[in-house]
Amino acid sequence: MDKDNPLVLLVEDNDGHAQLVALGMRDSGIDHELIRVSDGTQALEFLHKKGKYESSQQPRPGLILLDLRLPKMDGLEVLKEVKSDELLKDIPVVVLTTSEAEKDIAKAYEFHANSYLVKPMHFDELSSMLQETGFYWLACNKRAY
Amino acid sequence: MNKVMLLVDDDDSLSKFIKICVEESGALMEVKQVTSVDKAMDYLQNKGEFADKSRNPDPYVMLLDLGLPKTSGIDFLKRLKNKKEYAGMPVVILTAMESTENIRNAYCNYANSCLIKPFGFEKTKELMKSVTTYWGRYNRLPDRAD
Repeated sequence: MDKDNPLVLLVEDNDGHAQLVALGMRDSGIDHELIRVSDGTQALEFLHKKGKYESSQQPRPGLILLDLRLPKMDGLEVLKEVKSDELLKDIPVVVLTTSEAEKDIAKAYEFHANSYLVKPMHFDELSSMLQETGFYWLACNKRAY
Repeated sequence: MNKVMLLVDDDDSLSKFIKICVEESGALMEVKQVTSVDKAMDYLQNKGEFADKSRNPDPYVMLLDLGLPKTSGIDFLKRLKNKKEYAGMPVVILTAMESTENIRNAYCNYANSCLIKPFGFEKTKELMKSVTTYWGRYNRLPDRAD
């Protein structure tokens, strides 16, 4: 199991959802640091260490949790950019969205999402899903670095 | 019908062990093993011994060893991820070759996830419980024909 203290980048514009995701991931019991950005442009700036992140000392994320409906640049565009960038494509990207639309699911996999999760409506179900997600990606999955 | 995990690994003893661990974890997932890339393609295309689609449905997740005979796991991964029809099938690398280079290469060829082969019953059971719960219950796939 791979349990060193990774960074999780959460790309989520909804404050309430962001708090719930952070809580659920914390309850996975696996140590990690979570950084949240609220739109697609900020996500790419963080990953490329540009703009306000130019002097950031944060390591590259071990996991990206990516909402689809985002201001400025939507999640599918962010996904496409990450997975076509030789320096970023080895970071697992898990789409975490309320969209169950078949076109979004198909497009996300076409753009090489590592996984696609639909946020359940009820808090308990969301919490259970995030605990499993945290355990799988932070403790079981082997990262490239 | 149980969801299928397709295990592509030529190590029969490990595969039997994984099957037992999945059964003991209580997961509603059936492990089907093939020992080569050719057999895996037969399974995915419902050819030969896998012609009956009702008994050999599309897998919810594929666990793929890297060190396979003839065609390597990484070459098979590349082949799958270059075909649109398999884009929505999660391919999880299960390997003992845990060098950074191997793992990075797998991700750069769009492996969905990478796992290191565990040692011992309890660790294998814990890993398989997480794998079957995550990929069988929570991960969403595109619409399927079956």
